[in-house]
Amino acid sequence: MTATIERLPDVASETHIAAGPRPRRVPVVLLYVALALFAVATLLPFFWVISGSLRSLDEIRADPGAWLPTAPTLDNFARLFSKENFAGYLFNSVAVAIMVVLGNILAAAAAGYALGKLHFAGKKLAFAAVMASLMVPFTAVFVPQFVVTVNLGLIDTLAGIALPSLALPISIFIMRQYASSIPDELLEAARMDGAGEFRLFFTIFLPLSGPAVATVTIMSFLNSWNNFIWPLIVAQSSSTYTLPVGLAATSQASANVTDYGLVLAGAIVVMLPVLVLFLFLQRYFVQGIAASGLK
Amino acid sequence: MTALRTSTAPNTSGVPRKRRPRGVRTSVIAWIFLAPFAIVFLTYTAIPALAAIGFSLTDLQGRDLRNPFNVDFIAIDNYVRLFADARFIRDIGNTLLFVVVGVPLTMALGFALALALNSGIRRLRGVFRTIFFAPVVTNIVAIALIWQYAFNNDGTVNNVLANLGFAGPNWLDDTNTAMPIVILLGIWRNFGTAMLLFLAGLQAVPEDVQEAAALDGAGWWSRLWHITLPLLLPTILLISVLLTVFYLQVFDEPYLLTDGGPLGSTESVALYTYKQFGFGNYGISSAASVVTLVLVAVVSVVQFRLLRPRT
Amino acid sequence: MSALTPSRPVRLTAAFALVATTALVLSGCGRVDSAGSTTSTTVDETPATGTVSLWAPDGDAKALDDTLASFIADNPDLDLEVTRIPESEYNTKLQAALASGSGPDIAQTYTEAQAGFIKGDAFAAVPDGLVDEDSFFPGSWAAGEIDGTAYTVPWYAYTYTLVYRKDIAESAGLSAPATWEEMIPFEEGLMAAGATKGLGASVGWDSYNGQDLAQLVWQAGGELISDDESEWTLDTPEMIDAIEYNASFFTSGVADTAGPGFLDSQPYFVTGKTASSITGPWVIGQFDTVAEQDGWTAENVGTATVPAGSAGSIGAIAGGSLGVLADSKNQDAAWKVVRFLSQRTTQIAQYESYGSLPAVQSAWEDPTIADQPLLDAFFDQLQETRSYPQRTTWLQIATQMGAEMESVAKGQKSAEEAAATLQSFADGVGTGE
Repeated sequence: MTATIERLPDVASETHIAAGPRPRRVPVVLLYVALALFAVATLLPFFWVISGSLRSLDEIRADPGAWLPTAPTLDNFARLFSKENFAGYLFNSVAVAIMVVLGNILAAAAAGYALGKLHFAGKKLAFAAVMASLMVPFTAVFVPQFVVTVNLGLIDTLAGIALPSLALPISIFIMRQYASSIPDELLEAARMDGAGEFRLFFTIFLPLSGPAVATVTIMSFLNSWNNFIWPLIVAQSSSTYTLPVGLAATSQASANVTDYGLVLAGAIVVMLPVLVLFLFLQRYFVQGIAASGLK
Repeated sequence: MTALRTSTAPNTSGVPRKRRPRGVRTSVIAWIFLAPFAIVFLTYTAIPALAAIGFSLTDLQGRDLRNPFNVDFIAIDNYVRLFADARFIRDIGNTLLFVVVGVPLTMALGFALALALNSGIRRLRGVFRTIFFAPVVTNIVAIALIWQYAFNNDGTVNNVLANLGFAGPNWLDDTNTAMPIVILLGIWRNFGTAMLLFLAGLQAVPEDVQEAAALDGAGWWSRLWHITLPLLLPTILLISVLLTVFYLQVFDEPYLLTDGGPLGSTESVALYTYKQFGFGNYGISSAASVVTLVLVAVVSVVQFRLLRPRT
Repeated sequence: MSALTPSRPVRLTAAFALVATTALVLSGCGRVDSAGSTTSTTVDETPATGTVSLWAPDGDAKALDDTLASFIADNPDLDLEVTRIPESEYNTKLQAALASGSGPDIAQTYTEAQAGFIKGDAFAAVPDGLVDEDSFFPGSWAAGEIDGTAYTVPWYAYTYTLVYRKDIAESAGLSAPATWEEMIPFEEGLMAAGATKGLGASVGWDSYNGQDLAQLVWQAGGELISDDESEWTLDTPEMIDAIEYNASFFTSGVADTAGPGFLDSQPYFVTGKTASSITGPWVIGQFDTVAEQDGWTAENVGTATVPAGSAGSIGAIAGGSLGVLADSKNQDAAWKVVRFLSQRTTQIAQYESYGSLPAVQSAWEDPTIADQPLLDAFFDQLQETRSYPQRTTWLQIATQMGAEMESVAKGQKSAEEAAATLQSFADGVGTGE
């Protein structure tokens, strides 16, 4: 992951590659068309989800392949919260997400600050540990993680779901990257004034790290919100299910007739917060990915 | 905030000015900062990784969970059983197929879109970016359901094909088409990430070299091949490693679309591991995960060797 | 998918039910003091007193408040608390409670899947003379016995029968197949009379298929496990016969290997896309809703015992049983509640409230049940049922049986090869505990 880009001298301030000497009009229009077609293809499944969630079970049974609802209804959404425990799943997902995000902000900021700004014994070791936790696959550790969780008495608890994700390596990368980019002089000056490291961290570093913290928030929120396998394993009863697990349970719950409208409505509830968040904060998100990936 | 001082400020502490703060006190402080991460790392990564290796050498069963140490040590028996199990070998093959086909296609698609978005598209860039990234952030359970709906024998895709006069195959139940559909889902889900990473990489490719080459008469393709791509090599390496590591552990797509079927043709190693876990065969499950770990390590190292920028 | 309980157990948690099942109870069993668990106390006729808690999965237990009303009236000093737990995680929750010593006094178990619970000394033995064991369906009672000691009392009973479109069959002059040999011609006849496919078969190719196959093995006269339960006996001529018979549904074209489509089995049955299925009694009450027509079921549906193999028409027992936990502080009152629920009149009341089929045979003579012709086949079938092997590795074996069945049904393997593979797989896995 130590990819670096060598910057050639005279980097232009514009950020796009010149298309070349051929006339630009035709290719650009084609490009828009191609992109639009592709966008439609990408969005088709989403369209299905929305369309299906507005159809009643009778309608789906009558004409499963129809594209648009003939009698749109919000009934499925209502049933999610009355018949299924979606309010509970939503609460659990939010609770876990809050734990994960707060943990990441604190733990990653602290670790990132240390790795990015301090020089200390064992720094390389710490860095290797962060790298290792990124490379070790989930399938390699989830069995012992499950055993640890059982022995800690955290099975079937929200804390048990949240704990392993409290200090994601990607968050640490982002914070470290940001820390590195802060001029040393700022901190030197404060040190010479006698400020201790903790004070530096809280009074200078954290307030400055707004954008990075925003990025860490989004990344860790995403990680937590869409996590499926681990909550599936840890939760033993439906009162502990998070939204993805609850959605999967709902889709398999009924005896003989899959209630597609209900499940798709559930899917919307799960997807909507993330999409809205992304829509508004995508700039930070892109910056975050770029910053972490190209250090 | 204190005013910025220059480096010629009087040195009051008696410590040589240019030495960075290092030493026991700083190290202790640094490790305090690192403590939360270190605890999580030890508890949930380091010890489990070692434990997985340990468990894989025993016949740990679900019922031994409360007393994980009272099990029989059976050395490499689990590994022998794994590699003698035709099903496990088949699953390794399925997983490798997923990776070998999925990673290049995902990268190619991501790259093409990044190029398109980066060159000459001024408006709607943000909109397109959001649209193409949406599959990455959405919930796989719902999407898999839609895909099942669409690719069912009586589903949308076959209906459309029928209207065009073709008889579509039973996509998810035919061993020839099931895996391609699973791979397609994987690509659909992840090309957005590749696109974003390529976009970030492309933004660092300077324009003046391109322009100079263009003035020299180099065509678009030639510029792409000889200038852009070599400069993008670090990005390509990064995306390639990320995607490979991710795809080697593919679980959601086969689990939710086909549950490893038909006839186990889409079962991945991760799915196998999960099923063994469900049976309570923790020893075998751990052994399978260790195999995954080794695969990930080997493939990553190989990629680093092959794609390392030769500068 | 054919499930032995009214709602299909959530597949997700089925696997983890087993994780905690085997894990927690068998480790919890070391901790439970056998405080009087094997001594048979006699339970008298005096009213029950004290507090009793009862746990049951959501389902038939929904009617318990009604069913228990008269008992509560007759036992005013008893504080009885019924807790219903979502069905999909019932097993796991119960196991967790048992392991931590915080379980109820009375717990319902699934008759067909209780081995893991009652083997762990978590349940107290049924007191002598509490109930008349002959009053129950033999399979129901036997499922709660380990080494001759009974640990649970049957509460309600289910099994599978052949459910088919009577209207289509009659229009073609067909009567339900009585033997294996008659099955395919029957299905083909249904298709000739207008059904798209004759049989709506379960095609998850997982442990449910394994269970189906187990029943076929019994019908062919075979056994799955040796008498001393030390080894699986799967590579047998009867297994091969069973596999071939099952595969013939698909190879002959009367069933689709992709099964009823994504809208599932009942709509297909109601619309004639399939015309028969081997399924449980709950569908009888549900077809009318799917068909959106009252009385549709009475007009169009017929039931029959499953076609007999050379050893007869043998099915698998399922249902609910009730047991008292060895840890319970109020076993006397608890057993009184259990006894009440197993009485003929209570069983009839439970049926009337919820539709639970009684585990007590004489209850079936009551007009509310006897006057329903569609239930006759279930009663007959319940006379001839067996339980699945009560071993901790059974789920793995059943899953593999389902996988092998898929290979043969899709023409990838012969039945002999499948049986041989099964045997070597089972030998590798062993019989567990």
